[in-house]
Amino acid sequence: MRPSRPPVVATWLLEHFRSGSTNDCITGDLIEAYQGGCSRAWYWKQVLAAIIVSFYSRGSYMTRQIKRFTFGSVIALTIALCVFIALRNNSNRAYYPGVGGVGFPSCKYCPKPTYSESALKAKYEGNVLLEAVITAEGHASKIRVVKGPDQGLGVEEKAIETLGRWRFNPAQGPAGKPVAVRVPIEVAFHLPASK
Amino acid sequence: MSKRGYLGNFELMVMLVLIRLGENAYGIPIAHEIETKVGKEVSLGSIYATLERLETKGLVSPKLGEPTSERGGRAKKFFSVTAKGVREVSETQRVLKQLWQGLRQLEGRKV
Repeated sequence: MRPSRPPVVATWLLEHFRSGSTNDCITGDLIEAYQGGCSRAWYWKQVLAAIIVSFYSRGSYMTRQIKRFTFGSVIALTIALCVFIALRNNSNRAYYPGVGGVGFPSCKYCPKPTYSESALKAKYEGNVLLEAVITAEGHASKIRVVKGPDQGLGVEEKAIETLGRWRFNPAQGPAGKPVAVRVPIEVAFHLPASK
Repeated sequence: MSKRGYLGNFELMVMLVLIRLGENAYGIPIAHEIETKVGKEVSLGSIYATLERLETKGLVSPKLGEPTSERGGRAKKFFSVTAKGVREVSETQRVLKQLWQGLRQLEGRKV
């Protein structure tokens, strides 16, 4: 397994310029293949192909207009990209823990989740898998549900609310400074009686 | 005649590979299987674009796996063919077989 980090710019481009519901999966697949020995050139080629394919497979009005003015659009997109990268503050970047010398955050204050009325009535027990950015200050932001029971019990909302209250010891970056990291977090729901 | 959109070439390939791979069908094994059988490199982007389209048509159903560190904290998305998808593949096969039959121009040719 290769210890180095996949091309950051390519990953960023993929995450921001590929339209579709499977961005995270394709990024994960590319990272897995890269860690498995695929080259940087292969990684870049796959990223660019993914962006172009997603761009051309969508039939929106915007896409049709962009297709009509391909050359101008490419220049406009390139300029926009350069400006965006230049304006982007490095401190807002979220790393992935365990990659490129970035550590993992740890829990400092993580109280158990509260139950919604309907979840309590349904005696729900189980886990909700969330993804969040743990900031350099140790707060959870950009929280989203990856997997939940999806039974309309309000468990996902309670899990998000709970994670918002949690405090973390932030992850250490390669330079030894705290950095923001994107991590999966599981919030477990257990009924008080089952303790 | 019922309103039906027959599967395209690549869609059919992806569907057949999904059936072949069973439970372990996500981006990398799908790409690997197609590359092995076809002998050409395929982009993961094309595969996922096709899977998204098939999902919209209700021919495949996704299932999210657990995120792992070797994938940079991202989860795998496993795809399986739905009952509707299996019917669609069978129907496409039936239609292609019918179209294939009796073509003297192709008789005796090695494919």
